[in-house]
Amino acid sequence: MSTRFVVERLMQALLTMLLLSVIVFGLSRLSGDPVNLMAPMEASAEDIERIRASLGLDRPLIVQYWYFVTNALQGDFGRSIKWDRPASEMLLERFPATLILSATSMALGLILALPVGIWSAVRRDTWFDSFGKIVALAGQSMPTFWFGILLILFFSLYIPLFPTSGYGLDSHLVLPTITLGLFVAASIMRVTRSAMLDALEADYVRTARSKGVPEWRVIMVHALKNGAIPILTITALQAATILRGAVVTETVFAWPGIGKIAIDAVYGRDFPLVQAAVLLMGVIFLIVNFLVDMLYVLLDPRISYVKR
Amino acid sequence: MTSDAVSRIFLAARAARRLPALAPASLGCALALSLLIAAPAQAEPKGAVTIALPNLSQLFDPTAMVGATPHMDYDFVFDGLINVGKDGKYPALAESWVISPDGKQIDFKLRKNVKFHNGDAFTADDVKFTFDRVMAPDSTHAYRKGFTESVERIDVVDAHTARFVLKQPWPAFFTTTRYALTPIAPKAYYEKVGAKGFQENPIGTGPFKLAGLKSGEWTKYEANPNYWNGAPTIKTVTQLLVKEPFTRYAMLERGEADIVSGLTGPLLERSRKNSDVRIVSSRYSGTSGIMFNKDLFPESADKRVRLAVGHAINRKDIAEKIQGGVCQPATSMFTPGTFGFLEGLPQVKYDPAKAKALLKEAGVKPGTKVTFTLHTQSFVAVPNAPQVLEAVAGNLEAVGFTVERVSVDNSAWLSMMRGNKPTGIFYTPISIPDDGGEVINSYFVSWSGWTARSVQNPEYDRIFKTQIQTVDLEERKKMLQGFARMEAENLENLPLLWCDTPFAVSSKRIKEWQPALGSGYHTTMRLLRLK
Repeated sequence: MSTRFVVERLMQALLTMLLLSVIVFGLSRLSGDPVNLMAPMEASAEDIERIRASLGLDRPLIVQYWYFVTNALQGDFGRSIKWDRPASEMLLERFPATLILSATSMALGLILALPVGIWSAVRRDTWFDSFGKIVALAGQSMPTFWFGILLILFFSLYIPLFPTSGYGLDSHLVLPTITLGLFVAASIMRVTRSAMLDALEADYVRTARSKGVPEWRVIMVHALKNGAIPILTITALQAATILRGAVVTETVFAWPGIGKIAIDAVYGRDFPLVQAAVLLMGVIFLIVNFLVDMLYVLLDPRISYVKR
Repeated sequence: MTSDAVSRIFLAARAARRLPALAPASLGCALALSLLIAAPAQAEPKGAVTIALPNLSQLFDPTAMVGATPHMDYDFVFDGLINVGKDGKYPALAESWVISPDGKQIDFKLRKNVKFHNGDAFTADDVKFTFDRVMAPDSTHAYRKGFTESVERIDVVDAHTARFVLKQPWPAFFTTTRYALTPIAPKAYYEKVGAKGFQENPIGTGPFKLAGLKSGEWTKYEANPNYWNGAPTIKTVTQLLVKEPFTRYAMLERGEADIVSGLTGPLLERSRKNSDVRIVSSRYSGTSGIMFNKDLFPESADKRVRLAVGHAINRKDIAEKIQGGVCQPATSMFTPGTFGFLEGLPQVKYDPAKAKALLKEAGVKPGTKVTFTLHTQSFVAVPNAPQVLEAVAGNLEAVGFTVERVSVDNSAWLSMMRGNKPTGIFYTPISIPDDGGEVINSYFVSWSGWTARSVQNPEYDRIFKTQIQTVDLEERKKMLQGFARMEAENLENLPLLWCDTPFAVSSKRIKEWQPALGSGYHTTMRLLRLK
């Protein structure tokens, strides 16, 4: 892996962030004016202009954008219009909750998806494979908000095992983790199965078997390592899906993460908070993608990313 | 409920009660309201109550109020000159008042020995400070316009007398929650900490103190043991923001919450069937109507067309099947809880055949296109607004209109109304419709933003301007009832539903609680009793 490659990828990430900042800034302005929600209906045009000026919304858009970007580079995303607190501070205090939920969901997703995906490929067209396919289909088809509600109904009300909602690193984490984890697992499971099917039919696997390598080693070392790139790709994509799913899951389970506050911010036209939340999610997504690119090289030395 | 009964609720002195409801104000008469005050010795507050809500205000500066929603917080921390309880309004920080013969001066006698949470004494300086801030030129207070139109200045006569010098008589101050209930902020403390400091650490004279909060998540209040009207029986109240209605219901059933609001449809039905849950409602907390933009839908200038739209809408089914009995078909935009309500007005009944006949008679051809606003968010005044409006759109299609739905959230809707560009047929709710004059101000005057100035009736403007200065309450009531009768004939707007605000309450935990009359925002937690 060359330094040039790393620098190129970093530059691409920065460019993506810049584009994202333009998109989120533009879309939030197109969505409406927060002053509509702040000023009473009886407010005069002067009153409304005064409030707009106090929020800096009276400046030309390009000037607003310039302040937004230059301040954001210094970690200042402005103050939440509704809560009158620094947007970055509000997101950072919620970030651990989202990170914990994302991590446990991803862990659950991988724990479910990898063994089932691998075993489905090894036992292709058996009842287990069919079962795996049904689970994957169900996991991808069920909207997370609906599945979350079903879990609350069955495991909080009918069988009162877990709390309905709220934050805690105990039983509170179980239902939101299952909701998000199953959704993540479904995609990874399908890709793992198909990647393993390709790998298990490859020549090197036949060679390994003919050399008498134990079957578990053929599957877990030879086939899985070679099938890892698509699995890694879908896992990275699911990291973004988790952030998206967290918006809904956190709302259903009243989990105090950035997804829940982002929803409120969108409805309240709380521009600084929306911008900060989207950019934060964007940064996380780009970091994950960058790390995956690095891992590709480690997994497959043929990938160098260096133009020859 | 009869009009007289409503008047009784709002106006008659209730000697039997510990806190009297408001007595009628009349020229030159000293309104010696019975004063409570020696609150009986009470046990130490104990126990905790958790409320799961679909919205959390967390705005604590009463001098910068943006609408009715912050009363969800204000009622814990503050008192107004007048408060509202389960039976209506009652004198709070003002124990009595005297109105001058010309109606242009009100002397409020303030309650003595009332202290703010920091120990400072409540005085007339605090009253003047609060209303001066509300009326300041740079104020963004939601009701600033109403105050500045009526109030010339406020004088401090002595420590316990505040004088409102008015530009014109203002009887509606006493019958309208929006004005009378303005919470009183402490002058010295506010000036010391500033607006930002006050928002972070608000103090008032109210029954609870702010004990903590997490923005957008929860707010916790702790009982004020020295409350002038007797300490609350419960020690702490926690409000939790839980957006998903099913989760709120599940929290109640599971015992994680003691009170939840914002349940509608099947969840409300399920709550009613649950023996561990009871429904209590803030009666007549909302009214709503269907309105017409005569520029975009010129046919609606013809009363027959408006009447046809009225006959097209199946209010009964909407109230029963979508609102789960929380609402009822309205006969006017005034509710039975509104000052000035007129009983016995005819209801525009659901009759699609008659609607079609009227449209034909008015020359409106089947398939005529009309735009219609679909709100994507509900209101306290009308729960399940998106489903209700989709049903209305379906009703309109059933009588031959081609309905083009325009979906808006609250911000887009307010933008649409401010720009005077509502759809051909649109809908407007109003929370706390407690005074007929204010309902006219919202729905019927030619300058109303809530109708995007779609009603232009000079007679309505005249009635509004006359009633607002009519000091004799009986005369004013008759004037408002006359308006109601006239509007029932004119049908400028179509009354849709009267709604209550239901709260599902744990019967296992809560022995006694009743929210305020006519407002879903005033929750009177001080009076809650646990089992």
